[in-house]
Order: sequence, then C-alpha cells, then structure tokens
Amino acid sequence: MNKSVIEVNRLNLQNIKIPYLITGTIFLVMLAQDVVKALTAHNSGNMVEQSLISIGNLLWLLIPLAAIFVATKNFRRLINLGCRRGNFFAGSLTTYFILAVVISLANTLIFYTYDRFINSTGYFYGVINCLEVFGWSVNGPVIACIQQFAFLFLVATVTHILALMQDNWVGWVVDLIIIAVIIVFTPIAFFNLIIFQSNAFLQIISCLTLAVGLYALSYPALSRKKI
Amino acid sequence: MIDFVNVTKKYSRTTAINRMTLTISENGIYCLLGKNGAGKTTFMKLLAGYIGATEGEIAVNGQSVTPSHMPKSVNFIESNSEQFNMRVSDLIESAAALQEDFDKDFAWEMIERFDLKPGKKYKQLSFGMKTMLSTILTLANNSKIILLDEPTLGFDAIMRDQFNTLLLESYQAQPRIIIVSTHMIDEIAKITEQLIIINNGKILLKTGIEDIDEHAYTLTGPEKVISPLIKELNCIGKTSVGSMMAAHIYGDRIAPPSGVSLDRLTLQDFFIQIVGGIDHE
Repeated sequence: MNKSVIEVNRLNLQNIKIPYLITGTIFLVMLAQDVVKALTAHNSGNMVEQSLISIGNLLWLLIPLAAIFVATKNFRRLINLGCRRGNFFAGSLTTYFILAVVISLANTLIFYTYDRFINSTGYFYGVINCLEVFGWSVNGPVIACIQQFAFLFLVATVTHILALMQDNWVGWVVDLIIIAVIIVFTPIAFFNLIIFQSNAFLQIISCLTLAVGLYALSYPALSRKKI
Repeated sequence: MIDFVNVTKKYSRTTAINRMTLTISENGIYCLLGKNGAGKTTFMKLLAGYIGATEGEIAVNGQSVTPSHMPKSVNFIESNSEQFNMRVSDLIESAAALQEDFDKDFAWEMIERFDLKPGKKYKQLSFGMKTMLSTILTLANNSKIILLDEPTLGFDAIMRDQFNTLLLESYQAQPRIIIVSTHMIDEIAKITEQLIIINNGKILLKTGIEDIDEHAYTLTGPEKVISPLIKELNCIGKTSVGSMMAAHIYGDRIAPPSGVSLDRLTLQDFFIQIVGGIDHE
C-alpha cells in the first residue's frame, strides 16, 4: 500500500467528525435512557414492560454516515490537496474496511457483555441486537463478528457508490427511488443471502464479493466525476 | 505542451468555451485575462481534467485529457478551494504524503515567508491567507503545468506584492508553464511574460507582454485630426470629450502629426478596450 493511500485513509478517518458526533450522541443518549429506565425499575421494583434496542446497533449508523461524508465532502478536499482519484478509490475502501471491523468488534463486545448484563437484570423483556435478529450469534462470537463485518462493509461500499455518483439533489432523489425499488422488488432470496443466510461462510463471501465487485464497478463513475 | 483543438464546453444551454483552439508550448508565466463569465475557470478545469469537453480535443504532452485521464503534470487550484479544517502544518504534511513530487522545503519556506502560523487551523485563517496557503500547496508541487484561478482574490496590496514575488521565485526555481487568471492586471504584468485574453469562450488574443507595450497606444488630439487618422489603424476604442478625442490603437506605432500626442496604453486599459471597447461620447 503506497503512502498516498495510507494518507487518504488517515484523512478520511480523521475528517468524518459529524458522523462521529451524530453516532456518538445517539449512542450516549440511548445509553443514558437505558440507565435511567433500569434505575427506575430497580427503585420501583417493577419491570419495564418493553424490549430495548441494543446500543451496539446504534453504532451501525456510523457506517452509512461516514460513507456519505467521504464520498461527498472528503473527495473534493482530497483532490484539492493533490490526491489522485485512484488513491482516493483505494484509500476509501481501506477506510470502510477499518470502520466495519471496529464497529463489528464493538457491537459484538456489547452484545456479549452489556446486552447480556441488561438481560440478566430482568428489568426488561429483553434486548434486541441485530446479531441475534439476523441469526449470526448462533455461530459464536468470532463468526458472528465476521458476518457482521462483511455486511457492514457491503453497506459502506453501496452507500459510498450511491453518494459518489450524485452531484446534486436530483441525484439523491434518484438514489432514494432506486433504494425503494430495490426494497420492494428485490427477491427475498437476495436478503436471505446477504443477511439471513444460515451458512455463515456463504453469507460472508456473498457480502464481501458484492462489496468489492460493486466498488470496482463504480471506478468508471469515479473517474468521470466532475470536481 | 498544451493543445486545445476546437474545444467546446456547454453547461445546459450556456456555452462557456466556444470552439477554442490554443497551443502553449513554451515555459513561462501566462496571464489569463477575461471578463467575469468569459470562460477562464472552465478553461482551467478542462485543462486539469476536472470536467470534460462537450466537443474537441484537449491534450497535455500529447496525452488526451478527460476527467478519467487527469494529467499528472497539471496541478490546478481555485481561489475558494475547500480544504480540510486542519492545522497549516498538518495540511503541508498531508499534501506531501499525497503528492509524488511535493517540495516540502519550498512549502515550509513560503509558509514562514508569508507568516502563516503553522499551528492555526484552516478555518481560523483569513480569506486571503486561505488562498495563499492553497496557492503554496499548489506551487510546491513540481508539476510541469500549474493553473492558478484568481489566486490574489482577497489579498491586500502587500500580499499581492508578496504573491508576485512567490510566483516569480517559484518559476525561477523551476521553469514551467504557470497560468494565472486574475483581475489585478497591471500588477501581474510586472512578472508575467505572456498574455492570453479570453472573451465569450474564445481566445481573443495570445501574445507577449512586450508586444502590448510596443503596439498598444493612445492617440489624443482634436477629433477632426484623429478621426481620419484612425481609419487606417486598428482602433480598439475611443473616447470623445467636446472637440477632443482619445483613440486607443493596437498595431504598429505611427509618428503622430502635430497637435496629437501618443501615449503608451497600460495593460489594464488595453484589456478594457479590447474586451469591452466602446465609444464614449
């Protein structure tokens, strides 16, 4: 990896402050809310009659937010610093790889510690974490973490592509329409493959292949992108 | 070497560059002049491969230029270019890491010379200082072609003078093609060697500054003497006040008849006359 690619990655990770801030704020607010609810239940001795959404899942928000910022804000600033498009392409992929790894590790850790602790208090019906909802946790912490990483990596690259290809607000409207069409008309089998697949290896390979394949296919769009 | 062959660039219904043909083969500091909206920025963006031409061919050193083939030998910066909100020192280090031929020593020398505080963040700098920093980041690259779009925007007189020194020193250290678009015409004339005037998306004139010094002049005298005289000359504008007339000429100098004075036309006046030359009564 050349030093330009490493620098693109470093600058990307350093210059997504708003995504960090939004994700961090939501994470802390929800954490505080959980604590207040737990304390209230503890003091009153009554169970809170609801399930909690795991705060670990909220960290997922960082992935699409970061991809949007990298593709729309950082791209131009990197070019103004003399970055070549090819280095931006490789550097940003590295950024998404690192973010997906870190978020997956954090959520897995939260799932096996914080979520279990909350469950053990008996103050709530339960804690909902996508690791469990998507059926990844049955494969154990290591495999579940890798499955989650592969999925988040795919989310990052797809968001990056959608954001990068748009130069104005009309593009974003088109993006939303495309996303809606995908959600409505894409066969359930596709989601089974990238999310609910019982074969962890197949799910991981599908997500990684799609992520890298789509990202590679987006290079011509990047190379033609106006600055 | 830069080659524009019949290049047209349209934005929706607006034609920014209209069948432009231009060749630049020699190193030098080129002053790019034109009214607002004449096509200067579009010209630079096309040359840098930031945008693609609607029609025609652009080449740098024989290599075709398009957004998918941005020439490595061209470095372009706009006056209001966005930068990361990082410390000046960090921006220098990042630029050095991102660019293959970045001259860090030159950049640091200029940072000190222009009293840019290395510890200050980009957003804490004044508009002029931001522009100066972006210009230094561009000039520190050893590219063979440097494009500076309105680099002195927001500069005070002292900074403009310092900028001209910076440009000249950069050129002397490494002769190359430097194209500067500016509205500070007479100031840039002190250091530039070549002049390119764009009007309505076309090259109106490409010549040496000494050519303007030699061939652009004003004849002032009684209208009844001047009027017949300029019929044979290339008059680019004239002004009448009462019975007196000032005619601005671009062509070979003549020996003025008695009662008529001949004065050199400044570059700024020449530009005004050739681009927007109208008769003033």
